Amino acid sequence: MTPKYRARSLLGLTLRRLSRSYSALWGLFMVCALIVVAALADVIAPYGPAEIVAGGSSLEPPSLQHLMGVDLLGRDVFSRVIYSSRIAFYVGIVSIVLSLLPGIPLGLVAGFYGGRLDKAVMMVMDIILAFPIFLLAIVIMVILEPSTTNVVIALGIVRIPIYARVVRGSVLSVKEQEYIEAVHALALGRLRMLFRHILPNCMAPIIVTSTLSVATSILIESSLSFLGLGTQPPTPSWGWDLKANLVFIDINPWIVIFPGLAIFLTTLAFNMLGDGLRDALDPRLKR
Amino acid sequence: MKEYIIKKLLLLIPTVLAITFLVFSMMQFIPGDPIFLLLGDMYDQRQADELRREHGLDKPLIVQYAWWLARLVQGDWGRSIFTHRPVLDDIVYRIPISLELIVLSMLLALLIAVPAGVISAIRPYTALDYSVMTLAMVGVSMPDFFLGILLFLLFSLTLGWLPVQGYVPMADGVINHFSHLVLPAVALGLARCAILTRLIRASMLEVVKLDYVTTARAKGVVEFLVVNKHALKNALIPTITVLGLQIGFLIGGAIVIEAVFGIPGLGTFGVQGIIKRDYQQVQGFILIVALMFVFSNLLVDISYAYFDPRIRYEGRGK
Repeated sequence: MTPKYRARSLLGLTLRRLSRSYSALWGLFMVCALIVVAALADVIAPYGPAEIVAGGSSLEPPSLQHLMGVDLLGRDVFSRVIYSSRIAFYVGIVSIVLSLLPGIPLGLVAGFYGGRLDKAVMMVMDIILAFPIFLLAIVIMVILEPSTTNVVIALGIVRIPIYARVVRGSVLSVKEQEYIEAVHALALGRLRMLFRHILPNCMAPIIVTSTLSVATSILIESSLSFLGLGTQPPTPSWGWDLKANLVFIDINPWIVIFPGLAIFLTTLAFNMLGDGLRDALDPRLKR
Repeated sequence: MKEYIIKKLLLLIPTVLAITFLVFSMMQFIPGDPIFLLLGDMYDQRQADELRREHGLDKPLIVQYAWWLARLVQGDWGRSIFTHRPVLDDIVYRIPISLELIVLSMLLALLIAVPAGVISAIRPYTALDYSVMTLAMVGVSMPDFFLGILLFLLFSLTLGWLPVQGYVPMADGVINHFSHLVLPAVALGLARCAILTRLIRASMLEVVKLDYVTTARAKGVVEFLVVNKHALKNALIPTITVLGLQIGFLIGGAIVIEAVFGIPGLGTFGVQGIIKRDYQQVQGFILIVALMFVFSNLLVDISYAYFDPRIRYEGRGK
């Protein structure tokens, strides 16, 4: 006996829908490529990020030995750009996990129980949400010392309300569905209901928001590092390199352009994938 | 409308109080005892206690807050630890510089985004639409400081059309003044422009499907008027909300752009303060940025009510 309808996993369905959009596929491809670059940085980068390689010369334009040129201190810019991608991914992904951990339970509880609890939680969240993420991150960096880890913490904190809001919104619609009524009838425990039956059905907006958030996290980290308020040397980061090399832009513009391009391409990749996922996962927004 | 504005202005009081309280509490979190900093090597318990009493630091925090607030209201925002200049003087000098940059880039963003979004929406899924949307995608992903650097590289260094970085006050010539502001404003404005274009396109697409647009067409209104009068006016309502959010991003973006172009605005002031750990300066910076944000949101709320009369009457007659 063969079942009439084949069960489809969320992943399979998403991939199928993603494949209909060129820009989403490009986004996915670029994100995968960037992950490979970050993971294999040791193999791909010809030199170490802090290694002085140019034999006394500095500010060289791109050549076969040094694909993106050499900076003032005689370091290979290509290797630095490759190694910096690790920092970008670290900031992008860890900060999102940090905001998901409190954000999801807050949204679940607020949406599921409703009433005064919901109002109180959401009021606090809305107040935080009223301020722009970048400004909040700067303010948090005033209290914490500038460092990559603290950027991650700052970004993690300021995004909690976004996730709380997204999760609460989907809980409100999910809990009215019939299958949740069925779960009620089975008299399962609250926790089991929340995490086993409600949360999985809220995953789509969480995934979309997270993908788009990686892009903004990377943008904000590089902006902060550019201002000197983020990642500090000797840790290689695109934003800091951009700032440090900017002084020499009239001598060698390449060492400024490449780190900037790296930020741009990474952000673009996650934005394209995020947009594609939104179209794929949210049928209401489908064209 | 007048009633609505008064209500909003009254609501501003608790908001501003809350902000000052938050900034005050935040300054308590900052590591380092001010008395210790003041005395340095000459630290001595008795003298320290005396100074604490003198500055009211032995009082409960809420009393300290009241005093601090009273000083703020009187215009005493403290002095920079390094330059010893009153913080408020520096801020007052820098506000117009940053504000001009922000307003210019906002105008620029709207000037491009409205036509681009509308054109994209009335010809959806055409080559034109796709190119506008691709450009918008690029704009959203482009870090504004990198765009600024690229523009600077092209127009100032390579072509020599515009002056190299820096800031020239209006008094030194209007043309000179604006030629220094063009690139920063474009760099800051284009990213917002991209976001606004996407939004205007999306809300136009929603609106043109609505019945009253069909009605307008059915009664023979010229297509140009249907688009620009019936549809656009309503499509702009969600745009205004986002515009309010964008002001926050603009203030943040201005900080970075000022650093790229060496503009002596509020952002430069704040970043210097943070790096040098000049807390009086930082405190002033955070306060003024928060106040700017609150006031711009007020303006957005008011214009929102102007465009959408439903808002004005909300809560009435209940």
